[in-house]
Amino acid sequence: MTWRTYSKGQLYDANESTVVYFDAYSGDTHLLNDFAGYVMHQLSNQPLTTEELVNRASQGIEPEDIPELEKAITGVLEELVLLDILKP
Amino acid sequence: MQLLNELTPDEFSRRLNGGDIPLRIGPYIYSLQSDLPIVAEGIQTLYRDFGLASPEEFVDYNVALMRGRGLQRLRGESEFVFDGKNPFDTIPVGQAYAFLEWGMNWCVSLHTNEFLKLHAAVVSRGDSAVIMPGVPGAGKSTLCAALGLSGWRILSDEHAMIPPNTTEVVPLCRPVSLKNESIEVIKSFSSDAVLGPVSEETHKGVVSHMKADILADSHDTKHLQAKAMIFPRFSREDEQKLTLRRKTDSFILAAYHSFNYSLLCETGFHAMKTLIDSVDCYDLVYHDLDWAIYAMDQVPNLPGRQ
Repeated sequence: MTWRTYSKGQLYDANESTVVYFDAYSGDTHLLNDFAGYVMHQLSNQPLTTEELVNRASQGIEPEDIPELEKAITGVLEELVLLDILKP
Repeated sequence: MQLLNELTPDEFSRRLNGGDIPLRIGPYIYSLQSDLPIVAEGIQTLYRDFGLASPEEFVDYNVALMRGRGLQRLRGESEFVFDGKNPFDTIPVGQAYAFLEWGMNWCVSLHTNEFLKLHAAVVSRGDSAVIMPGVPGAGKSTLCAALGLSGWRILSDEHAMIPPNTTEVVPLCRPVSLKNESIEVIKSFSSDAVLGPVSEETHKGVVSHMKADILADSHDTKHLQAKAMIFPRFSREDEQKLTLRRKTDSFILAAYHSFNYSLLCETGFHAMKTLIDSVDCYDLVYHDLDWAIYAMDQVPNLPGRQ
């Protein structure tokens, strides 16, 4: 499945465990955890599939941890869809 | 520039009745009109050191607090008038002064969207400003008044106005609104506090305003650099402390306290990002004003006590 953002959102990342995401489509501002912020950052320039997102996030990750990473990304994508800032 | 206190009592009374008191307040000119003695008393007490604009200058806000007409007058009611319109219900005459101040706040809250506006008190030392956002009852006005009586300059009790993509604060010095117990707290804190008329039984309880232009540079319009954002919270139960808080959380909380963050849309996001990125953010829990002022003195990047 390919994921895309509703707008070219804006991120405020202060190197904390959370980031601020502004969605220009809705005008809403969200406080996301840094992992969700990473996902939104990856999707900000182009749509990506779940597999492409996993590949990007897997650098430096042990192969046996990849399934867990995939599960985490899937979970985050579902939450971002619920926030209406991401769509398949 | 002529100051309000340079008018003779008769001249003041005549000009206030006729809507010819154009006061310089920060970057704006408010033209005031009233036929109510309580309003005249409040203006004379709290705005006595404000400058008067000259007749040819543009007036930003035409504001009047007038005795009601017909039945309203018999009921002892008055009305707030803005640009010839009545945006609010009538007001008991005894509460007229508080409503004048709230109406003057409303003018800025509703307009002036060239700035990112936070519901916040702002104080400064030297060229460094501290923004203190807070919900009503958080204790920001009481702290702001006490700081003003302790050598800090009061830039505003109500609005932090930030030109987008700067870290500047625009001074907008007007009286500090004190409510209920805060009135006696500030009277006890300093005998130098100059208070205006008391408005009883308002929707916020008992209200009185404190003269805020205490220092020689109180009316200086030069923008100041924001160096810290402090979220004050008065609590008798909790331990008093000043603690650093995350910038991203502070971004969201400051946006919550903003009058127009959402209205400004992407401009608002960038304005807030620029501001928050350049200031340290703190929570300040206090119940003792002397301790709170001591804590404010400990905030880094601010000039020392004068």
